[in-house]
Amino acid sequence: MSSISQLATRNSQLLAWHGWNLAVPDTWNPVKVDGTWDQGLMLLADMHQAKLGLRWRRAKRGDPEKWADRALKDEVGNLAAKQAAGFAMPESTDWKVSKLYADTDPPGRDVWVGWSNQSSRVLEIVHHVKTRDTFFEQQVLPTVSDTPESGEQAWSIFDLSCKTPSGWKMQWFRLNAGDLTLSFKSKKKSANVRQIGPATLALTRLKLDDWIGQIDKSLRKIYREIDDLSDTTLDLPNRTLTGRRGVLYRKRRLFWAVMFTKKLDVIGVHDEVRNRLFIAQGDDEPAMREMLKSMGWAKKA
Amino acid sequence: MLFRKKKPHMSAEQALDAKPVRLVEAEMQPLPDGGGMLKVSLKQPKWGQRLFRLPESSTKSFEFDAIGVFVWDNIDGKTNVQQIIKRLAKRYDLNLREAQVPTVKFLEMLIKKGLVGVPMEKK
Repeated sequence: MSSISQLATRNSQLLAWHGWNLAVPDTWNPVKVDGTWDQGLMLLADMHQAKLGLRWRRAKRGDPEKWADRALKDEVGNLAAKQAAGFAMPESTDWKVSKLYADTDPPGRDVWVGWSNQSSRVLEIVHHVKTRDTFFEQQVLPTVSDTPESGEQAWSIFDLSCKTPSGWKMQWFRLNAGDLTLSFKSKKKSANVRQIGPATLALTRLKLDDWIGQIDKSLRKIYREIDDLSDTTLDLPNRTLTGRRGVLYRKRRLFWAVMFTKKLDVIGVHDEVRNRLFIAQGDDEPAMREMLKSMGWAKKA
Repeated sequence: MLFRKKKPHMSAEQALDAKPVRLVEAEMQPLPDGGGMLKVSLKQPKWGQRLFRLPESSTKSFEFDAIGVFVWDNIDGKTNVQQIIKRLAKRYDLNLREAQVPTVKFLEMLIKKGLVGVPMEKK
């Protein structure tokens, strides 16, 4: 996992989503994100046009070579699919099959298909090319990697990056400009991490206590407002972040609603160096703290 | 419907290359939170002169947050939308997409309010 962060260069950013990791230019950003670990898609675009499309799903049983041929045929047609060739990935043992079709007469699209050994999922990447260059083959494809479902997961999208301990899966996400939230669950436990930025602007609108006190609409009927907040700290390898911590208690009249946990911990910290507010809410404080500590792992120093 | 003026169509590329201009002459008064207040004098519509008369000093106020002030300051008729987005991203250490969405929405709102216009070249 540590090698992933080294993939980013000066003008690139890391994208980590549902186990997939890759480095893309920092001008390419997600415009459409959908799906789960088992199946999903992501579309990246720059300010002018679509650039890269990713589509993944859990692999069914069968011959990987045959699947790759069929996937390419569906995407680019029979004749073009015959021109596809095997593509050597840096970690060749991680992939059962890896094939690339490069459009010989751009504008068009290059298509790469791969069957990951790590998670037994298949990934299709479509790159929209205007002129023939080797950027996709040499800069993007070699950075594509996968992580097994059972291990620690890295997440990085837009400006938000964090890591979740093993066993935590994504529940939902909300990606508003300047206010990004990822929600995770592990068996019966859940945790949300939220990043608000720039903090200087956010704190002129509301104090940190008020940001922490903001309860999601769906939970407002179930939990009481936070009444007392205490100071807390978060130790990072090279510095300590200060913040506030509170507890949301389930409303007394909802004593029977056992499907909702009795209390939710809320931790909010202000990272002055990165000018961001990080807020975690959930019922597993150690995991929340781990997630908060890993916030910003993909950001270049 | 028949006589409605057709709205000029703009592609995404054209919109990003467009250089917005201010349509009102007003001073932005800074606010303590980093934002600003724009007071625009109201113009009497011709059709309304017979019905009622606006006092000459009547103004309309628009409150901007710090990002709004930054975008307003960059609207000078020389800077295109793409440059404004890049400057905003650099100023607040934002991702380009994170800067693009609020900037475009904000400019759309300013255009709707009649504070900003986008000159278009005749075909």
